[in-house]
Amino acid sequence: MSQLQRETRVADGSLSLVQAKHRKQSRIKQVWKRIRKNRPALVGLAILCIFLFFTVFAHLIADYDTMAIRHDTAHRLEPPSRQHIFGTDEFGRDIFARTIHGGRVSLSVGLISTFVAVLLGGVVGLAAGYYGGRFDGIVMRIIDVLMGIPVILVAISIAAALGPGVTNLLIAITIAQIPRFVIITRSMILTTVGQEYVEAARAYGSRDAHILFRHVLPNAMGQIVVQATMNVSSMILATAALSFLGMGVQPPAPEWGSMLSDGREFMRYSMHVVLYPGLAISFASLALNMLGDGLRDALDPRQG
Amino acid sequence: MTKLLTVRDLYVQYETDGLVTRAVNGVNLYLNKGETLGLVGETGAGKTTTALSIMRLLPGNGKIVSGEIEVEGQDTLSLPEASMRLLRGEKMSMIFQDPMTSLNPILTVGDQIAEVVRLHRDFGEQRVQQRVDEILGLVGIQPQRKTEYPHQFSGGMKQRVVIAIALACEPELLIADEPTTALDVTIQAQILSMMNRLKRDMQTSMVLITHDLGVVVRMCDRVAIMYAGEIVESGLTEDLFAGSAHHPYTTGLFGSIPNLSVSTDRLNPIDGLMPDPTDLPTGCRFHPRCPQAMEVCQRLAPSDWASNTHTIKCHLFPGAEKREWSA
Repeated sequence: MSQLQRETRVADGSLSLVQAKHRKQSRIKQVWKRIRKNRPALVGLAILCIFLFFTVFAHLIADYDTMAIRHDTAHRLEPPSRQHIFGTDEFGRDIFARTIHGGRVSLSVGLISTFVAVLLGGVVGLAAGYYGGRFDGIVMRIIDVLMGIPVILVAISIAAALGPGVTNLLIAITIAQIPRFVIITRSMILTTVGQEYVEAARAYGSRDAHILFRHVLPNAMGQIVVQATMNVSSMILATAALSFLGMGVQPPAPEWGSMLSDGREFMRYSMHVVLYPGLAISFASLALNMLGDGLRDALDPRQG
Repeated sequence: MTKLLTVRDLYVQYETDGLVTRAVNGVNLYLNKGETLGLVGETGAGKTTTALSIMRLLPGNGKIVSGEIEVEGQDTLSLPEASMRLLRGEKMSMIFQDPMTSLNPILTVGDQIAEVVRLHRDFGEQRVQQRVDEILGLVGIQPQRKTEYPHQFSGGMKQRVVIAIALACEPELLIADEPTTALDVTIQAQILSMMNRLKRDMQTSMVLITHDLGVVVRMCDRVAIMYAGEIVESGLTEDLFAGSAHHPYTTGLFGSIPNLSVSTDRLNPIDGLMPDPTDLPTGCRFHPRCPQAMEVCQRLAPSDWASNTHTIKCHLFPGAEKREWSA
């Protein structure tokens, strides 16, 4: 290769990189532009950001040791006041502090478990759907059996076997939801692989991996993303349920579900004890659902 | 003229749940450089299966049982998959029937054309984009529209994009599987004349699969008529449209086209249906529907009768062959 040729080649190469980067950026920009036009999705995103802000900076807003877990029997079950904006619980702990610190567990378990489950379930579902055959058969029979057992029951048995604790809770909830994502991914892959554009891509000489990552996955992605975001909210509920049953976070550590469970005795005369953690769960779920819906529309170029 | 594509004694079958569907049964055909060959037949005659076999893109349950396929003298059936992939898009391309579904909805059309170029040409991004603009211009789409998504195009425009993808690397062989069936008649005419022009400019040879005899007469140099996985008659387009001797099936096909100069109340379809490919009749595949069937047709499969460029697979003709030879 002559000097000149090499130079043009390098120039071309860097140019292609720049353009590829530009393309990627513009796609994200495009999705963002569509999200911005979608009011419910924006509201969902805003609520989620507020939650994230409070949970990420929880230790700066309210000290964990003095406010969230230290008993203060002189101020038991106080209604919301300037001092305690969400009131206090049966041990005089500040409910606002407990809610934002509890959000750390609830939100991160929900998000991380779903993320891992999408990854693991996705890979299995992808392989099963794209290659099919005997592997698909075996995997799907196992999944069928697992799907016969309710998610919460699977999570309870795993959590019970592993013993209480946040890590075990996370593992239990992750494993429990993998089958769902295997099924979702597999079915999305199956519908996409059957499309004529996949055959067309093969007809102009694309490799399997290329077809998978450029044509099949992006088209299947929309549905998977929606399912995943909606799933986060049900996993927050599952975390709450497990903690409620005493298998998740151990006292005195706060968690939305265990706060509900502990507060239910006092609910009749001190509603605020369960009201705020309950609202936190509802709003987090609602926000994620709205965002998920908006994302699905934004990922589909046919929607304006 | 040199032969670009030769298919010899091709047998293809699909297996589903132990049931064997014999889709292609001994097809012989060839394509000279620069020529257009029309592959005509009813739905289920094995046209698409033949095309997919040439591309080696049969679905998982399809199998080439025997036969040879040569592209430019090279036996493609023995090539490893990796080398075959290099040929697809580069040396041979295929246009699918439905432009609505053969484009990826979430990639811009420019991206989809660029993809083929990137796969087969060692171009820098600038030259890739140049090529995209160029090929879009050739198929009559403004290059500015390359950033648009398939849903922003009409059916006819989409088929132009599909053709642009197929022709982006100037393949030697283009297989068009009913490229205009999904389009309305005026658009059909535009697309066909554009394909003709591009084919001539790029010196591409084409196998055109269709069931529209009007398309055949406009586009094709030679024609092969398929029935139940066999080529029952083949020859130059003039042989088929102006020749005197025909396979009874061909006669039936032409008979079923309404004639402009004669008024009729009803069309004249061929009686009966295409035989079940899992249970083909013995002897000549066409004999249950053939108005001129003889006793021998039920027992023996006919062999080819040939006169110059014209070949017919029918028991009516061995005698005719002798007569012609003596004449």
